Amino acid sequence: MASRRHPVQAIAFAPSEAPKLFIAIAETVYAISATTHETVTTWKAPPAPIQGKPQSQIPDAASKLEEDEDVVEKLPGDEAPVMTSEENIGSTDVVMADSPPSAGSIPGKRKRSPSATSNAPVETSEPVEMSSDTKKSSGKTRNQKKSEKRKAKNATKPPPPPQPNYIGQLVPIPGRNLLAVTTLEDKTLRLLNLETLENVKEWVLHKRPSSITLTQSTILVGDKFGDVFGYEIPTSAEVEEVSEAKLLLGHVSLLTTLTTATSSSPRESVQNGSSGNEKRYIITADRDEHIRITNYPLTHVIHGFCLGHTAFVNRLLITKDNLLVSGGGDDWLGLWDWKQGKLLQRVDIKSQIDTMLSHEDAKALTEKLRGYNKKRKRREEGEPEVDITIAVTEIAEVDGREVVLVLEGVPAILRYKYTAEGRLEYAGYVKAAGSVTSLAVDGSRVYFGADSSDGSLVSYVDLTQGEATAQDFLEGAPFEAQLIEEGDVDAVNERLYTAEAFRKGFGGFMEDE
Amino acid sequence: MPQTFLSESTIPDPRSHTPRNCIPTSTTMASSPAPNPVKRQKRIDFRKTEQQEVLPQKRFYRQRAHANPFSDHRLDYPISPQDMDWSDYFPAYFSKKRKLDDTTDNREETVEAQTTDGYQLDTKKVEIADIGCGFGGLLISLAPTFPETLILGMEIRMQVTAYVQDRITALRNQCSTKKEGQEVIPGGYQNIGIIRGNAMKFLPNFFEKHQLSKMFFCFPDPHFKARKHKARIISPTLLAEYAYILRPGGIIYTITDVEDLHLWMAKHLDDHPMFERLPEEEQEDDVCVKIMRTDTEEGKKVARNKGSKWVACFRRIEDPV
Repeated sequence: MASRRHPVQAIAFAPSEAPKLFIAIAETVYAISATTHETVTTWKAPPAPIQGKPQSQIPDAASKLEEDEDVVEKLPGDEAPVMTSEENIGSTDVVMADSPPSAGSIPGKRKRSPSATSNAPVETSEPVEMSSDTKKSSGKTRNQKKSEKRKAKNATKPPPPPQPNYIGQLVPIPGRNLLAVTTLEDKTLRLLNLETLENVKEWVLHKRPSSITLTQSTILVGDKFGDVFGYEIPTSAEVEEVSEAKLLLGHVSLLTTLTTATSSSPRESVQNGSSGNEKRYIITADRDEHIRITNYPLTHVIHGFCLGHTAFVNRLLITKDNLLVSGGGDDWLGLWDWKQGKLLQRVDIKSQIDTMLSHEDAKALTEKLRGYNKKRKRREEGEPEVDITIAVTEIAEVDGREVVLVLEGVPAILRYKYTAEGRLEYAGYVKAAGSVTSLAVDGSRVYFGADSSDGSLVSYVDLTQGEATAQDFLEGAPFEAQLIEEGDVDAVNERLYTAEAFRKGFGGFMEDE
Repeated sequence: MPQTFLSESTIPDPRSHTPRNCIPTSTTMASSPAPNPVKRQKRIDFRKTEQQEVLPQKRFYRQRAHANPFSDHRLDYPISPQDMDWSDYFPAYFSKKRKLDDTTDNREETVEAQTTDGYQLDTKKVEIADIGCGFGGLLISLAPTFPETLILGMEIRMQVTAYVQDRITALRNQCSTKKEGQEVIPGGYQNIGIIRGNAMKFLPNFFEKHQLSKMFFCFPDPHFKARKHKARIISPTLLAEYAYILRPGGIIYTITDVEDLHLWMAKHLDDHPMFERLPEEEQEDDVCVKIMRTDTEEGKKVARNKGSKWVACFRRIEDPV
């Protein structure tokens, strides 16, 4: 068997004169024509700066070696070099506060600053780090000494290997001819030209992003620290201007996803601009079972909560009827009247999966799911052979007629049709070549990526009739897949399958000791 | 409560406080009792005895001063305020509700029914919350001051919660078996309760929109480091949740002995569009402020050490139209 190809971790569809499908594989975005299925252009995320050091500051190898030796040497002897008062002031925190905001400097993060030298005229001939290190080793506070020790320890360790700068989210902004892309390793939001994939603008994010969505003029980014920041989408004239992120709201929990909603029917108002009385909202979900409705742009006013989930909430969808569908670690999807915070229906998922899978498949899936959660792996012994947990990774509405969903590890797309009463009802599934890793919708067509060694990498299926089979999107088109190297399998899986890892407290988190 | 450092070794190492989800096992429970087996046994023995009217002693309930608000503690919290059974906390005010058998299985059937049958709270709701109530000094002083109002203390540390629970039980028992000449306590301490919880994450699980009239934040953990500021109990993003739970006109009370923290809390409350500062005069006339200054356990300690106390109170304004 050939080695495994890297699956597609994100897909987005952009309608335009020449409609395109954007797919992300590891660090690369491919723009593929939706009509000819040929790759138009690609963009590769630049490597992330080595952790803890801004890129601008990495000295050449020789001076770096020197510097490390210095640290080890200077530590035991506690000799305090004579310092001017100026230098004293300039040590650690104060320097950081003064240093000019660069792409690499994030408020609230400690980093060694290159501007330390500018305050140390006496030692200009010495390497940068040395002067600041000797200053610190004369340290007055316990904290500084501690960090010294830690640093000395780290100095003997080899630096961690550079991590690939994975693409996180892809969101086309067709009206502005832009594609918003996040990268996870350097935690950056970039705007690329939708046609050429040239980098137009970028912002360094505060924390690793977990989800992004659009309002008319703003990109909303939810991060793993629970906060949501707003970034103004610049017009072509404003691209060069510096624009700051605005903190809109925050959870004290890992924020998993966010979406927007309006008080009246959803789609038109988002696209065509809202009328006068229409209220707008941001809906956010977190790992601690909450769904929160916040007013927008007055984000200090919380409208309400949708409480009912008993496990993490991972995906949200506003339907054509302006209801909310939520899914995550529970065995069911929630259908909500989100304005009232009222749960209208629990849509069963678990029993569909149980009937769908043969015993062998169920065993294999159980095994896979256990692997996705490290905490769970530890307690594997004595657990039943088949114990499938549900982790919803995608929810999308297709053509206003049905809702499709993707579950982590499951090689299928589940379909749920609207009933006459506006509820959801299971309506079969579309088989995929492997675990579905990403999904995008264009009208009644669904594009998805699958994790398989020999099946199609990207497939599409038209959900117009009852029974539907997926086609290979890249069939016949020249497309060179990326292969996963033997040693990277675990690391890749860890990046691709993240939902099940949100599950907490095996043995029941409600149980008390 | 940062002032209760037991020893240097108990100061949490920031490296061990990664926001990763630690699933506590029996050996690594951050809140497990002290390792000394003799002390531990004494503690267990003390707790086992039926202390009908005897007030608990703090030394049997010691715990390190900090808890990481971001980690998964094994907490018991309701799915939503409607699901909360308050009868364990305020037995005089709430009749025992039909318990949900399980959080998953039997809820399928109750989903339609839950708003109609048997699940509505009785006549009263909790109106005052003391967030991070510690050893409960404020609760006990507030109880006779507002005998008709239900007051809930929330505390994340298990041992401390157990202490306050035992203290309330003892006080209630003292009141119910009234002796000659004993002072009558209005409310009989039936109006205060204590719950173990993470208020930063789960307040909306306990309280509905506009349910509370007062929230107290007394001597919160200062989290001095800039990168830990999100762990502070008053933060720009959390204030939106407090505003949601407080009714218009409701008041947030803050007190601390750390000036930096006081300035931080006052600044963020000042900057938040849903809160306005209480005028100095009104603040000083407020009986709660007096109690907060003198009767919180930390307040007493600061007074013993002749430290300063900073108070800031803010009113929640009306919702914007």
